[in-house]
Amino acid sequence: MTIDLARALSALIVLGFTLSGGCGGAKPSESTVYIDVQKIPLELRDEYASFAQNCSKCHGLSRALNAPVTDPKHWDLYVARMMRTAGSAISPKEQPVILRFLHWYTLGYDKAGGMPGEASATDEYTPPAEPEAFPALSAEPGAVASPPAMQEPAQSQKPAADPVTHPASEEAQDVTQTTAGEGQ
Amino acid sequence: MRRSLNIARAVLRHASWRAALVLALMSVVVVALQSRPAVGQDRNFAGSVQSSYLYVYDQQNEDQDEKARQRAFDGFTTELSVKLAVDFDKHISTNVKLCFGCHGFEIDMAYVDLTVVDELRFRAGRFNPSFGEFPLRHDPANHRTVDKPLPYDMGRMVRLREWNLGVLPAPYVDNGLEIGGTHWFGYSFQLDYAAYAVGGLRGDNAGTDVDFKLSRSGESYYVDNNSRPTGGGRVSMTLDLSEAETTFTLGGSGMYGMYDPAAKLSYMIAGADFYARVKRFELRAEYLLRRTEMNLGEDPSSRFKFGPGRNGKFDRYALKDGFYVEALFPVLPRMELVGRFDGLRRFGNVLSASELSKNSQVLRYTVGTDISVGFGVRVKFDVEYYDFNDFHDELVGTLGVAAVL
Repeated sequence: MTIDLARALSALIVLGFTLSGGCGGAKPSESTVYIDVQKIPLELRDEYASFAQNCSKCHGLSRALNAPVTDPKHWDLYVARMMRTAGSAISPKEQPVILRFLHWYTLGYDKAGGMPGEASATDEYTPPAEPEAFPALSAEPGAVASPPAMQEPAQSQKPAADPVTHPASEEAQDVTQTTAGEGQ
Repeated sequence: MRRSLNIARAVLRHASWRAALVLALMSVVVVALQSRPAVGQDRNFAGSVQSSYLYVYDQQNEDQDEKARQRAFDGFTTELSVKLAVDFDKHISTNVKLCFGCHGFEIDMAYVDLTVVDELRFRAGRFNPSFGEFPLRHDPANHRTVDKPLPYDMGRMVRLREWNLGVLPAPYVDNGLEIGGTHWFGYSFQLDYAAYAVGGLRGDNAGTDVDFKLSRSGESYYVDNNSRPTGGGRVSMTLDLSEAETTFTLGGSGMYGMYDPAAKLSYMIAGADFYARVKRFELRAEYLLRRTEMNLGEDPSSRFKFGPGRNGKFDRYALKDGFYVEALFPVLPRMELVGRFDGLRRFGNVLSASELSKNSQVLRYTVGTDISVGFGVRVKFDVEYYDFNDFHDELVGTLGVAAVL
């Protein structure tokens, strides 16, 4: 044995916490740039944070963000399947929150206007009505667990006022352009 | 389309089964790429590909006649997986996954999933039996290192032949039935459980260890080799503190079966896994243990390298265990650092030609980086240092490009 294992491993962990606290201790939405956060309406930022936190445990966010889903109802079954994966930590409370973001992402993200900072269309984005709590599959086997139909936002939208300036995201441009297959 | 079918028929009449399998895979890919996007309750197509290069630093080797190739599968390796899932409704779905890797094409999944309620789910067909935490993300596009932790190694470790791979090479795929489910207690505590009966690992009657190549090979047919199902299961508990962006998971797994055709040689595998996430920092750890019964043969003294124990008898069991601890540090929006410490140990007698000792051990230290370049593509680079007690130490570099399809 040539290396002091305990000290090396401890240093590695301390370094990790330090780096994480300095560069990424904030919420995922501020520093995990998988999507242009400025294009997400303020009222959906928490939903995005929940999606980023829950859907990156077993795979990258690109699996979901690159999926060629055009019907938001598809996400209902998909997220339900992910919830049943062992250790998913996606609770029935988190399910509607994640689905709200995914529904908006499918219907609204590609239609959001312009690059960050650009002046946008005149129509305001209309957030969906507060969805009902989605029952777990076991609670209401006969019910279809899905949020209320989302209103399609305007072709472009006015960027929500955000005092925190987020850097432009090359990843976001990649995401809107890709047509790759969906995640598992 | 008709012309393509005619060509396909002509090829199938004259080609070997391998060519037919290649054609089938290409057809699946072509059809999947041409499939309309998933809409509602429909088909889901997913896949991944990783191409990697393993470099073994040969200057470490004092014996220049022994090349790296004799100690590891150095050079390029490509791993491809394509999966098609069909949701008939919220209760029934089917999943088919085809993989291509070092040993050609394999069926990783081909099963029907019936979910009565969240707490009761059936999987029947060919699937990955629930064991451990890493197999849930064994796809190379899902984990941040180029290769797998040593307990789950399937051919990328140095001295793979001497060690006969890891404890339970991943992915472990088998035919059978699994019953499982998940239940939430409130919104913070999740309980997952699964129990299964599958064909089991395989070996031969004169064996001293599981033959992992035989276990996944169709040359002995994809059926149980001894008509004795292997049973196993996993239980895990997850504490989710979403407000604090913190999650903890603790799990335990077990498996027992017979691996020889005569159903006389047993194997037992047990494991424990732990996962912690605090904001963006992740820590994973697992421990696996396999006890394998060996065929001592008519004359153990000539068959085995070491003599009997203090009781004058040859020990018919070998013990192999392994562990890993892996930490993930996001340092930049597109870059993560990975630190991993893993190892394998083997206790027990070995065949006379084996280079292992009675108590063999290998520790590995890995430092790596994972960079997201966009379009679902990641570049991974790892440096690994192997510390063997039976062989000289090794320094290895691996570079991989993984993409989500």
